[in-house]
Amino acid sequence: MKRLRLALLALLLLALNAAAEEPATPPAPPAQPVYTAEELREIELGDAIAARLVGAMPLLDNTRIQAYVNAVGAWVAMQGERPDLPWKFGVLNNKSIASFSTPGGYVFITSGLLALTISETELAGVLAHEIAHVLKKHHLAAIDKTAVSDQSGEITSKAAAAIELYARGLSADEEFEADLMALTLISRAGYDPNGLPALVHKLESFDRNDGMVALLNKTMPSPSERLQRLEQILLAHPADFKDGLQVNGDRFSRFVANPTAQ
Amino acid sequence: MKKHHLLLAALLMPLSVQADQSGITIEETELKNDAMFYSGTIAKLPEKTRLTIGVRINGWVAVQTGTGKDSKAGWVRLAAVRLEPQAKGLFSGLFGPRGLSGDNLRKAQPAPQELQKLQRYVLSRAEVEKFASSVKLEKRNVDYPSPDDAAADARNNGGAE
Repeated sequence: MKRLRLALLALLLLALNAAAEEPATPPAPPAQPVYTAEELREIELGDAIAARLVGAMPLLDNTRIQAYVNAVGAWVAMQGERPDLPWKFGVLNNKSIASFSTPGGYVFITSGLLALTISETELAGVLAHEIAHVLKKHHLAAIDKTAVSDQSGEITSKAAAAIELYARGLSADEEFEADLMALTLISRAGYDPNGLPALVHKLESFDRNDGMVALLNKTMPSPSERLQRLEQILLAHPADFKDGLQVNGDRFSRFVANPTAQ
Repeated sequence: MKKHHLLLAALLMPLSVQADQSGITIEETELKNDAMFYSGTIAKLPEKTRLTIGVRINGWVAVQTGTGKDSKAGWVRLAAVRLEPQAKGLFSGLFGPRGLSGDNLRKAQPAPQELQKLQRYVLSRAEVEKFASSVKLEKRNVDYPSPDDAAADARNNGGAE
């Protein structure tokens, strides 16, 4: 496993033309975080829900893209309040426009949504929105509320019930909160925060009846409402959310433009 | 002014080459010289003005109206513009099966072996920091905004219309 991880990192650095600048040194053995019983329960529930999500949509079979999305996502997640969660990021092989997160730190983006993004900062914006849901435990709280009537307490039973939440969506307030937090997370990570509103702006261009956005329309506030809230924040805090930070369209294209390459 | 138009043309060019995005104003809005409320107004654009869309900066989007000598370029508020619907099939050449509904999720069976594949892409904290450093991503100190404060600030600054 360690050799594979080293190979992945080398692949990332090589593609970024950075490997030649520094001698390759093996990373120090990662310190294992110690989780509380509550966190372990959350992680276990996240595993069960994520297994169902990839049961609906398999992972995209492309090592380069998956490694790149993991690197970007993990960097953004490190800017939040729960950097030690076992964050895992995956691209699901489905053309629909959707993204998901689970308790415990799984974040998924569909290949359709990835295809709609044109820069690393837009990708970071989507991932940050989902990371924010995990930081605020939005899904976990909603699942626990539902589970009051489910006395079995079984993880598998809870995960099955939780899927209904993914089909129905969180509250509009929770989605707006995740958007606002995402602006901060990507700004902390050194990205241009305009990536998120730029991507939300593109969602407006889909016909409401287009099957590609059916689940998104059912589970999210309208793009125009999201855009208005994002605009308010950007205009009110110009110093925090300044432009001119990294956008990285070129780097993004190198990893994502040719999805069939491994 | 001429220099300003050249800059805008340069900003618009990459997107027009890439996707030829077009949009339409959803309300009357001012076309500004720069992406700022106190910048000079070039023109008032009525609702349903067709636009070519360029880069987006801090809640503003670079746009161009019409073509030829009557064309005007400037900045308008992002929320005042809606992108026109994508041509059908724009994404049809991309990867993955299409269509996802709540029922797809409800009927899905757990696939733990598929999930296990994700483990191979997970990077350690040191590896992630190395990635960020190699691409010159630098951490910044930014606080979470309060939605209420933001609305109040925008009103005090005369920002939101």
